[in-house]
Amino acid sequence: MRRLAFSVLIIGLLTVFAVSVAAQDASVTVAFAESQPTTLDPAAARTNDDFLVSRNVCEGLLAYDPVTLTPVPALAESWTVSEDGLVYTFTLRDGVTFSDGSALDAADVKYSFDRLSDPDIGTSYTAGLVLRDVVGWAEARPAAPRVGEGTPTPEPIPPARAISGVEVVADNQVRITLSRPITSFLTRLTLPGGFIIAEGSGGADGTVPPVCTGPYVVEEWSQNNYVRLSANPNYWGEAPEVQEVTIRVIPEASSQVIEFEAGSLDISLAPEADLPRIRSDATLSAQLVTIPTLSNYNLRINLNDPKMGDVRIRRALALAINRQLIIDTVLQGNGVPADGLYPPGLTTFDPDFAPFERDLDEVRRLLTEAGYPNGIELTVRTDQNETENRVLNAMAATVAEAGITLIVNSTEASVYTQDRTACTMEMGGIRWTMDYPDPENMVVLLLPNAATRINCGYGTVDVAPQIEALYNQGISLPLGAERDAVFREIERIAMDAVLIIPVYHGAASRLVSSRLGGMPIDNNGTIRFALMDLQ
Amino acid sequence: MLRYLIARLVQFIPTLLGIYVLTFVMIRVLPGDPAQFLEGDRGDEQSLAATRARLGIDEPLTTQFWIFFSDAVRGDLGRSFITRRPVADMIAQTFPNTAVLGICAMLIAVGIGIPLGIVAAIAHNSIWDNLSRLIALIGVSIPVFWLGLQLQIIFGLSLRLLPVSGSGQPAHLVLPSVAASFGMLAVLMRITRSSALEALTQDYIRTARSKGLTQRRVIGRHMLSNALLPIVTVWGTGLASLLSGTLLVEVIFSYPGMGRLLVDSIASRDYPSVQGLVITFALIYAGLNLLVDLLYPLVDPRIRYT
Repeated sequence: MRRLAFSVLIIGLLTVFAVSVAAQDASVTVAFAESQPTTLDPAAARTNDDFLVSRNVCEGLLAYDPVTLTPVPALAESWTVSEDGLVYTFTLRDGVTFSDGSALDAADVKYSFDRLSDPDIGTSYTAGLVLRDVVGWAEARPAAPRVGEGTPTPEPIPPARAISGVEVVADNQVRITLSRPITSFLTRLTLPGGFIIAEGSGGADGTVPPVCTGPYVVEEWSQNNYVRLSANPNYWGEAPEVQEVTIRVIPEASSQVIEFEAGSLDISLAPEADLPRIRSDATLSAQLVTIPTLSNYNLRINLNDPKMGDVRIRRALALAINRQLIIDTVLQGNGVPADGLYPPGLTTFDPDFAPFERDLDEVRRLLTEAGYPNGIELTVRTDQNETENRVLNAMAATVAEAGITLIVNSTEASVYTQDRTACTMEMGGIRWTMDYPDPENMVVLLLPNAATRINCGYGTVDVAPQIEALYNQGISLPLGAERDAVFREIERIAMDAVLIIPVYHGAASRLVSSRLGGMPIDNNGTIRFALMDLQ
Repeated sequence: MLRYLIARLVQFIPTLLGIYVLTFVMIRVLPGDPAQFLEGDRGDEQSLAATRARLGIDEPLTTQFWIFFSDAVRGDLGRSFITRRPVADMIAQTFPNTAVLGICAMLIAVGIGIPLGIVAAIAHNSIWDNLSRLIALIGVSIPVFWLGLQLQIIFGLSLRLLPVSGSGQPAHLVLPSVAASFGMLAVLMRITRSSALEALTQDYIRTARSKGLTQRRVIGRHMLSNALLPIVTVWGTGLASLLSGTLLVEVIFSYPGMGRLLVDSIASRDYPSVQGLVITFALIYAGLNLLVDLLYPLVDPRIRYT
């Protein structure tokens, strides 16, 4: 009898052990790329850390294909577009339930979009990108202040909270009417601002996760510590292999690498400073993944500045930079030189477009012509981002050969943001990663639709009307050669006038544990737990 | 004693008020706009204005002060600009972590620093004394961030004995506590050594020895009790500075404490968080100073508060 009891105990313990090992195996631990999320609410999501949670927990009418990044059906299984390109009718997928078990219907979609006009939820720019061309959005939002009249305080107009252009047609059908045809509208719908939450869910403060339909649910958010996700038992799609996820807060990239090497992280950042060591280590280099980002690191110019207002000086600086050297040394090869707006991967990218090939004789000629035969001193502003500071210091070294003394003025991010918005600078570094893969999202760098660019003179420069007209034409043209030609023309005009100084298109490196198969990181650089296979 | 305690508590009020006003003004005098920080380069004028209004920073400074202050008096520290959580909740969540880290670090510092100081004093000018002085010198000279990284590399990466960062289990506390304790350990050791040395030259020690008392009794009963006063003073202020000084340690070890929260809050100009955290740190400092003062009569019966 005693022996039987002992055997049962041993078998029981082994079972518990096996179950716990299995549970352990189905769990994945990663770290946030920057710090920690600011919100769990997709409507307010604005940082990469916010997006990481939102994109694994919530879904929109459409999603992007993880490889091609083109829009594919998600909560809407099909849609029709009117001939004039203004009216989209989406048919919702059958059998979709939220994580609380309730069924998705058109009222949830209407609720999710209307909710974005509530100023109290801290709606982010991605919601603006989704809805800004939808009929009724402007009326539903709080009124805009007039630019240039001191502290911008909105008029106390209560928002309508209902967007007339989003209508429920049937239980499973929603109609969205645009004020002008926007080709990228379907792509924009894949942004977190377009994610659908259950009617009535989503608190005002973003700390309570809204009820969504995605493959995971938020179990716990421990401040400055971790966010824990678990597989959504009511998920409408294929159940993910990874059942438990812990996303830790480890802001120091080098600490993340140490954690990865110690085996306590499955995915970590791989900062440029660590790349030579990682590449020389056979085990680590086999786990190194580098994904080109649709980005453009560039210098925004104060076009009103006495020195930088002169196109000859702007061009001189653009021609003096040794971009390849910066990429080889500082970025350890992570990136390609940028000569224009569009990164490789966009249909508008033209490998032969190279207006800023390094030419030091031309630099000296331009500077002499501009009245600086003995060289010129310029100042570039930046925040304390380590990579960017090293890039700018390397840039200063390369342009010094042509008689340009480039002073790098690095301040706290909040100080730099304030000065950049007021444009109290000659020029400043801009790390621009595209929100969605459409050339129009890169042209934004030239448009006077935000205080920072207005104050830097992007609205008053002589080519501004031409760029704006082409932009308005391009955004409505169907995808194809004609549309691409319009956006390339914008690029040509902008680079001719050197409205920005492009430096490089970046790439992001991560260490990904060899036990993660499938597609742990999609081509947008987002970690996708549901796409992982456990080896 | 009770009257003294009440008087000290009453003195807290203007101190806290002063600190509150100073923090309120200083964080706003710093360049940097929280709304612009939140909106970044992507927000248009409309969303920037909406954010300003939501955060309440479009109001005149006096109105803002009144709103924040009257809420604070009622115990409401407001909501974080960044995470939008109640600041009191954020502090309640991070304070225990910082307190545990501070106490562990102090236990290490006291547990090693005081015995080492006594040994150094007794074996004055011996190899042990020199060794302890070397440790003290290293302790006060090594920057905590460097020490933290070395501990991570040695014990986390090479030996794989301890977790490199994070929290939740006792093992997570070891490396940050050691890193945080090192400076304090050195100071405590030096103070113990010098005050013990001073006590050892006193007449009562000679008398005790001439009475034939054992070395242990002379040290424990006569020397240590007289050398304790400066040690308690350093200990009290040291514990307070440890709590706030764990800031760098918390950043290096990704430890979810108040120090790291304060660093993040200042960087993002999260006014309510900064105000709430600074007031909490001020309360901790003031409370610990009071505690030290109350401990004096226990250590030295000649001290009396009336």
